[in-house]
Amino acid sequence: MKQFFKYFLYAFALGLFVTSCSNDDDFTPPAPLGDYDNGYFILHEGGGVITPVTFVSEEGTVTSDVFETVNPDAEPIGGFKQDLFFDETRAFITSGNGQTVTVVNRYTFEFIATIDTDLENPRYGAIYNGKAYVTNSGDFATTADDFVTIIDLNDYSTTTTVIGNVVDRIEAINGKLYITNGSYGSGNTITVLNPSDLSTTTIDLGAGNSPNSFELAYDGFLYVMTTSFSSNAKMIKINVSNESIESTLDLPAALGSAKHLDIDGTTAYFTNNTSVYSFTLGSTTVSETPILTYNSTSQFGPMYGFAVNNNTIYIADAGDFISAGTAYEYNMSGDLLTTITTDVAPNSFHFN
Amino acid sequence: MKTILKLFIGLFFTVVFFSSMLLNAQERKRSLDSVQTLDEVVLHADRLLQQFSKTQHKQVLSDSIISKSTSLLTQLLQFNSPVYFRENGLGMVSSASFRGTNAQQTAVIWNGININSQLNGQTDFNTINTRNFNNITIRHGGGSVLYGSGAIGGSIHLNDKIEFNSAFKNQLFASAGSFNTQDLSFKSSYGNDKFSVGFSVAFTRSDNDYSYEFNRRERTNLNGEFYNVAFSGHLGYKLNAKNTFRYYSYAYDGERHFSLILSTEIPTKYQNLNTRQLLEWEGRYGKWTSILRGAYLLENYKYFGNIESDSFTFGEASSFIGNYQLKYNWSNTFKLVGVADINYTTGEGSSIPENSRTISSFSLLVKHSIDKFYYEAALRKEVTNTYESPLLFSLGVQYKFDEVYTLNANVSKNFRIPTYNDLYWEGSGNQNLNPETSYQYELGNTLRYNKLKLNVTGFYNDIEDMIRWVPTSSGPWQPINTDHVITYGIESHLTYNHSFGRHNFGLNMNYAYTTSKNKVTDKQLIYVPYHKGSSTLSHNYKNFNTYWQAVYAGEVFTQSDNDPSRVVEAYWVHNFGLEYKGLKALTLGCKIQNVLNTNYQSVANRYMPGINTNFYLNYNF
Repeated sequence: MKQFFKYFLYAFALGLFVTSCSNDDDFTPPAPLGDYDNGYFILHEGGGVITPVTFVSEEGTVTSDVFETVNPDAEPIGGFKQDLFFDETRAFITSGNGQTVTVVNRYTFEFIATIDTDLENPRYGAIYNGKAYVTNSGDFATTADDFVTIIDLNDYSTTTTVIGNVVDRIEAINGKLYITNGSYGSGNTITVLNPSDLSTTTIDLGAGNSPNSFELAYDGFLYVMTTSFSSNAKMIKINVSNESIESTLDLPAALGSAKHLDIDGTTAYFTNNTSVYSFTLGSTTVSETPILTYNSTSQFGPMYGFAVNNNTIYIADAGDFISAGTAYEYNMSGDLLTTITTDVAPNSFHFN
Repeated sequence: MKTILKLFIGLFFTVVFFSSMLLNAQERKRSLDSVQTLDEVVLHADRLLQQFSKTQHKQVLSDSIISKSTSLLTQLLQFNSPVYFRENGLGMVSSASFRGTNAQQTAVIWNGININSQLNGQTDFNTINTRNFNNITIRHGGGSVLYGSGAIGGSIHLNDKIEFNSAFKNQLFASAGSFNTQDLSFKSSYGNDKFSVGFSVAFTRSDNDYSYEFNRRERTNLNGEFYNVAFSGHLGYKLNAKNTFRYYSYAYDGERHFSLILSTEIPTKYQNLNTRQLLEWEGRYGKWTSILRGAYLLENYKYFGNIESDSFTFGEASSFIGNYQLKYNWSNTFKLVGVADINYTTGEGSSIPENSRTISSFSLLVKHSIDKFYYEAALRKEVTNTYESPLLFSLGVQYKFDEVYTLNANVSKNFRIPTYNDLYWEGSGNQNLNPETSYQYELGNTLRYNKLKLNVTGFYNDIEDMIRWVPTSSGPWQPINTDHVITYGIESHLTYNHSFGRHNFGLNMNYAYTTSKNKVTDKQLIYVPYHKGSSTLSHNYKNFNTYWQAVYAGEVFTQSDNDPSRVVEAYWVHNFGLEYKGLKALTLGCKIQNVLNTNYQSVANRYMPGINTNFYLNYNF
């Protein structure tokens, strides 16, 4: 009851706040839009029904159990939380085991809705033009049924479109949806989905080059990181205007497990095992000298999540997957800035 | 809750203390019979359990205990042993932790044959219907020398009985209860001086749609229905005074839907099919006894990742076992047994290419009584091309001070071999694995005084090279020999009967304190409680029988860092039953389970049923 009262007070205060904001067009100083504005979320993949995120504010304050604190009466979110993505006001969390996409206010983390239709083992999501596009593995026994769920963000109604090839990460780029067709080294294409007629085209990355991460850079090109069982890892540059490969950069043979491509300005960052590397976009070679190598206190699940944002490197360590995970912030010189305890299996960082 | 626990433990040890005082005060004047080792009448095929397990604690669950429990083996053991179970909801996947070990370190033995899955190395205790067995025995502590892989924490023995010269006996058991649960079985047997024949058939089903409270909401257990049908049969034939043939057969077919934590999850289901055949020829020639056995075991599972879809993944393994035991009765007090065993297994699955392996083993066992002193010793060596197998041994000694007090000590080396999944899983299997090995030391005290029997055993178990699946740098998970675990603790078991007038009271209590620590991190293993206790108190007056069962499982950590906020809380569950024995052969019973309606979970977010009832009928004719 106490909690409910507190929650009621929060809601009341927030209501006042939101009303006052929306009615006041001259309101200029950028006040935070909620308790969880100006900071970042660490998503916990977990194995079961565990709290979805830890929040770290700009000042470095760490808040655990955000979802449960704000929404004490909401249904918990299922296991295998793979992705968290935003539109202007909302955050969406996919749960592979719960077969849901949970919608919350991105600034207050107040529960809005649970979407549980047309989803089967959902993975990643992206927003385009008032709709969310979520990749689904479908039946794990086959990739032929892999599909995308299209969620109308006005009423959360859903439809699907079958891709018929392993689907994983998804980004909205240049009016289309780019989907990596790669999983644990198999699949070597990118599917481009046209949202207007749901037609698809395919970009072949070359035999064995399995995509694991990609990002659109400031120069308007899409960069894709691939690994291969038979040759070097690569960064493939894609021209999104004609959906073709512009150039391919071979990474050194020693960096065969390259993943987590993250481009910040003109610099590309990626990881190989417990090390972080970088190079300037346009370079023709990549140095084998890392920016940093972190010592994973646990021997398992290192570098489970990675991001670079505003000259800070973020690393998540999943430990043994049955205990609290750890997140680290490093500066560009490779000095450890801070260490954060998370819940089970932190897998990604989401800046708010 | 903690206070209750303290009280419980306090009470228990007070009882232990005073009873030992009392017993010590007695003059130990009774004349001791020299330890009797008359050749046991063979009633079941698990001879080593009868003959070579004297220095370790054994608990026999008889028919009358079995009939007071539901047909799920998990439930029977949960309320009658110190073994702890983690169960994904009633009837769902259930794995045992015996003396702080993991699911693969408890062996389940059917008529003397190890039946843990070749695929994952464990037995799911909710895939065994207890109604098929006359006798279920819990053998505490290491037993790999006798029973092979997995007998580290202890072993559970499922036995059929073959009797010659016994009347035509039939037993009908029928039970119906909450959540639309039915549990039916029929047993029949007959034996003359030449033949013995018998069979049992058991059927259990349940909608299993109980309600529970989760996150301050009332919920229903969704997609939890299950059924199983099990058949067992046996034939015995005495060719002549010296030669006897026995045949045991078993078949189990079951389907469970796996219950959901959240209603949005995809409903799944799981099917098991197990069959076992065992033929043995026993010859008794003077001081020699020769037993030749052949067995064929088949296990098969199908997992449907979505019950709406026909697609499934499967695993299947079949084993041919040849076993020869030759026993020499040197004298009434000294016996020698040699065993040769060959096991050929072939298995495959959706993610396991077809592979076969052959494991041969040779054992030598000896037992010897010298007045009040007794010892049993055994050695076993396996030969296989699949892994490096250690020399296993066990040595048990017993000293019977008097009729009241007996001291046992036992040391053994035990192991758990890599499973098919560990060795051959596509893209992950590691063929360089070694078996897990354990050194175990235990000291057991048995006190018998009138109708009181108390057993207190301290144990220490050092388990090395434990196999764990870990993520590799290249992506897929792989099993490696990594963990080193130390478990130690105390097990105690008390039975007491008392009668006055026409009132008979019986008390049966188990309590175990278990520490199970990862040696590197010094943290308690997840899902191993420090405290586990169970108790049954029964009262009989004229035709009426009442009984009260209770189980206590202490708090368990769900995270390996032992985060105190990530635990499954301790729970007490109480059952109460009332029986009326009408005619000599007919018993009518009613049992209220979880009578205090405790909302509890066995595994995080996996809740168990609240108060529920069943009515049963047991008719012997």
